[in-house]
Amino acid sequence: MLLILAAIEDENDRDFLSQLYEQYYPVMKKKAYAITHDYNVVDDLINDAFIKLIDKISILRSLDCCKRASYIVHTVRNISLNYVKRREANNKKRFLGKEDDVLDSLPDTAATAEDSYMRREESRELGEAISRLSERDRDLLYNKYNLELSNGEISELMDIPVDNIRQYLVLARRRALKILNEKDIE
Amino acid sequence: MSDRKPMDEEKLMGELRELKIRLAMANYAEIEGKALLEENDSLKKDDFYRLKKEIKAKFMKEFNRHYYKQRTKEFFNMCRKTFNKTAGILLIVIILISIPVFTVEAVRTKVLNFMLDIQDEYTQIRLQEKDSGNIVGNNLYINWEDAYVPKAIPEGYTVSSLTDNKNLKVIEYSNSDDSKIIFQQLSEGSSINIDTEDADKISKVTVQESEGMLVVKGDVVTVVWNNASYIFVLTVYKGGLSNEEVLDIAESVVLVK
Repeated sequence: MLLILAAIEDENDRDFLSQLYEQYYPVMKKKAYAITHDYNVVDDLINDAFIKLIDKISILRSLDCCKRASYIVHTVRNISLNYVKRREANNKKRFLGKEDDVLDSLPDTAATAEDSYMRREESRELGEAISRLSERDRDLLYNKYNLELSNGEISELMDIPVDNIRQYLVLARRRALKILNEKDIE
Repeated sequence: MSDRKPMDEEKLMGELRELKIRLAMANYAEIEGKALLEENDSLKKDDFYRLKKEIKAKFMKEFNRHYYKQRTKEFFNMCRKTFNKTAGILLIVIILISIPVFTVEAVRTKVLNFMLDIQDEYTQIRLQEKDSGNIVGNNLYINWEDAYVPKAIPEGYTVSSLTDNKNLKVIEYSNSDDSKIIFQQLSEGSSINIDTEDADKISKVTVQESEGMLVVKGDVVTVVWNNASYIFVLTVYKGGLSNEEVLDIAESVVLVK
């Protein structure tokens, strides 16, 4: 019986991930290309990202659709960055992502009800405050807090010596808090 | 001495700052995700970004391979962990249960009441425990310790074969029509398979105040029952006897002293 239940759960999880793949394929393709500039590898990188996401099914299920989209795209982005790093090591070339900063197109979030207005507004402000950080700080914090990567993983991904990650995180947190506190004062 | 400082303001402020950043990052993910979803929706209209069938097929193939590999690995890891825990608990439970079962006579007799293990093709019947030793001798009248025999054998049948093994005593009767009546007495530790596959009839019966089973398959009638120490199997081949007559033979089984 347990085996049958496990198999059913497996099928649900498998379908869940394949639906996400189908749903977010366009934006994943675009973001992966923005980093690699190579359409030949984009599909493989998306596949690699989803293989990595197999372990994160419970997290993905717990997120709402916006956060889930962000989580998936960041995973694809990290896989793409890793690929570029490996490629650079071989080719000694560097490609920088041009379109990986989506903050320019951040939508305005309008309040829908009076009673939730304040909370929504505060959330939006907090989120937008993070967008004022440098891309490096933002990525550091995103990898640490949202993707819950270890210091070792962040070090490998962001080309920062692992011994310095802690210090980089402290500084990024400090800068984030400074912006967040400015918001509080305003 | 505990290091906990529940009202340490500095520590609490540190936690508050950490929470604030976490909350800000979660909100950032939401805002970013909303923008990504909008971008995704507009990209869907662009044929270039639309998911092609062959790409999806390639993804599914690769994904399934990794998915099931990973899941199988996880499942076995889980089984191993669960087994280790369960095995210990089970061992303790078995020991605790075994102590009264194998020391109290009433419980022991009940447990040893014959176990019917009904399979698709046959029914296995066995008694367990007890060290039995018998005197060998193919003579109905001598040296069979604790031997049971049916008294009401129909006319025309004579003893054609006797077997006395450690756990099994068999008396075979036959008549001039090649009909056979076989009476088997099985002791603890032995088992016998009764052919119940596609049987015409399988019913519960009472023989000598014990619950038993009657199996009719073609021209073979088998009755199985037990007492505290033995399983008895009475099989009639081509005997032309009714079920009631076969049950009468079973009822007539007595201990030879």
